[in-house]
Amino acid sequence: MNYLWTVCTQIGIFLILSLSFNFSLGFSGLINLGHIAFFGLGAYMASIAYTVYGIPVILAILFAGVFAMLISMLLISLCRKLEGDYLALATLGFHFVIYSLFLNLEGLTGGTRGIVFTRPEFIKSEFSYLLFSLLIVLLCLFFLKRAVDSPFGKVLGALRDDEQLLRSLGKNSFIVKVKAICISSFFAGIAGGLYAFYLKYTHPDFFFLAELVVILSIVIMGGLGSVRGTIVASFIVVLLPEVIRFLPLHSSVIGPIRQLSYALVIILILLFKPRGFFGKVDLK
Amino acid sequence: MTSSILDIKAIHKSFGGNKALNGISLGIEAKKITAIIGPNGSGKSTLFNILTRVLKQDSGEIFFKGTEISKKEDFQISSEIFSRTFQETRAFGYLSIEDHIKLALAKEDSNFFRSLIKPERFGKKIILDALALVGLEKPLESLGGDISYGQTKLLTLAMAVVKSHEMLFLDEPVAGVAPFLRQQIAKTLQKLRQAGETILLIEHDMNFVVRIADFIVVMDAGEVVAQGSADEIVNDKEVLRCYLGR
Repeated sequence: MNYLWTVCTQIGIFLILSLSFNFSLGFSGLINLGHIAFFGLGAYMASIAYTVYGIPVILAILFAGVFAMLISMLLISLCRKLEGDYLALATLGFHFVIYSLFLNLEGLTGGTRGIVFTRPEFIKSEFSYLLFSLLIVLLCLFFLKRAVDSPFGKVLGALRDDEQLLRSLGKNSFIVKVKAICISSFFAGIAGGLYAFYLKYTHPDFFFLAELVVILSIVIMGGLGSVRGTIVASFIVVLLPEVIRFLPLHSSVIGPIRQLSYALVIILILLFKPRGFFGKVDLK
Repeated sequence: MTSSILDIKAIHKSFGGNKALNGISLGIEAKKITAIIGPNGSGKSTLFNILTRVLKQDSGEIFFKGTEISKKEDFQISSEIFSRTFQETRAFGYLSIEDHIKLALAKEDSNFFRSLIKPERFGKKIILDALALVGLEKPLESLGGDISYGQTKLLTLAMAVVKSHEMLFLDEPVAGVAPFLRQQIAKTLQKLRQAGETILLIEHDMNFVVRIADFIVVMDAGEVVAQGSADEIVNDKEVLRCYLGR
């Protein structure tokens, strides 16, 4: 059963990570390709807070979210003049910088050795950790759903659709962008914290660009600007490689097939259902 | 003009080597409809965009009720003083008509926590009244991207009117609009003037301008070449030369 619990936990974590990515991309129209960097920052922050400073798990995960949010505030302030493809490139560059820091700040991150630790007693078993993470996932889901349905969510939609028109209504679009990226990164950080305790091991390779492909697949499959779509697609995309795992194939082929399956999902969706399953917004 | 609400002083603007505005000075009177007309490339839209702070002037000053506003950002001006529409039709493609009006009405919706805990609420009546004012008859749930060109013009006019403001800027409000909608917009503007609105508009349609404007400013090659009442303007030889080509 442990296997089942770990897969369920992984679905929950990727649901929060993908929904927070959709919050910036689908709901706000901001292409932040550095999202995985915030996921990684959250994971490292939680790991260091827990292992080095002995901070309780729940606080360590909260710090992870806050830390990712603060760094994102710095990033978006530096990228103030950038939008669209240029913002995407700058945030992608940011991802590589952070990845490089994970690898090279050995004193802090453990470099290529990573950080290994054990979970505290109350979440030691996979089932107890599933319940713990499920509680956090539901809280995050509630909060994000409420945010996108609120008047602030409509301002984000307006920012995505026509920034100039939004400004003509007296709204400071830059501040709205900062808030959108901060909220999105906060939840990516929370997901990162959960992921660190899920694996009990934090390593730079968990936060490389391949993870971006996974969440991009989820968001494109579920649909931009759709909470329901992200939930459904998280299940499908996380379960897909697990199904492949049981195929009668040589182990050396399974890894590439997993990567191929994500690419295939994206291509098929873009060809036959460009708005994804429940998308409200067209891909531009 | 006397008792100006908006004073424009010696505005210069160039794009590369091309002078778009060459020392424009104007006074816009309160509670009147003032129209700026002129041939293509005369600098009307540039002036409009400078007044609403979408563009920055190279030199010159703008005063609203005696306070200099030339250094403010566009959203600050929009938040405090002006409402505007754009020459091209603009709407939030994936938001409903109801959301458009609510966005125009709301003042605190950019405040994330306030929006979650205690959101501003607007009744259906205020939204329906705003749409009725401009004569837009569409279901409230229709998306901005799904309505026609003319209906988008009406929607943005409704948004500009309901948003709190002291002066209304309309950039070609009837360009490309069907004749019956022109009538509708003209009636709406006259109603607004009677209610004490100050309106500045750019328009190519001379008949429309003559019909509704209290004061007309004619621009050509980045300069004001004439200004006066509709009667004065239609008989002005300089205007006939540069604008009507006679």
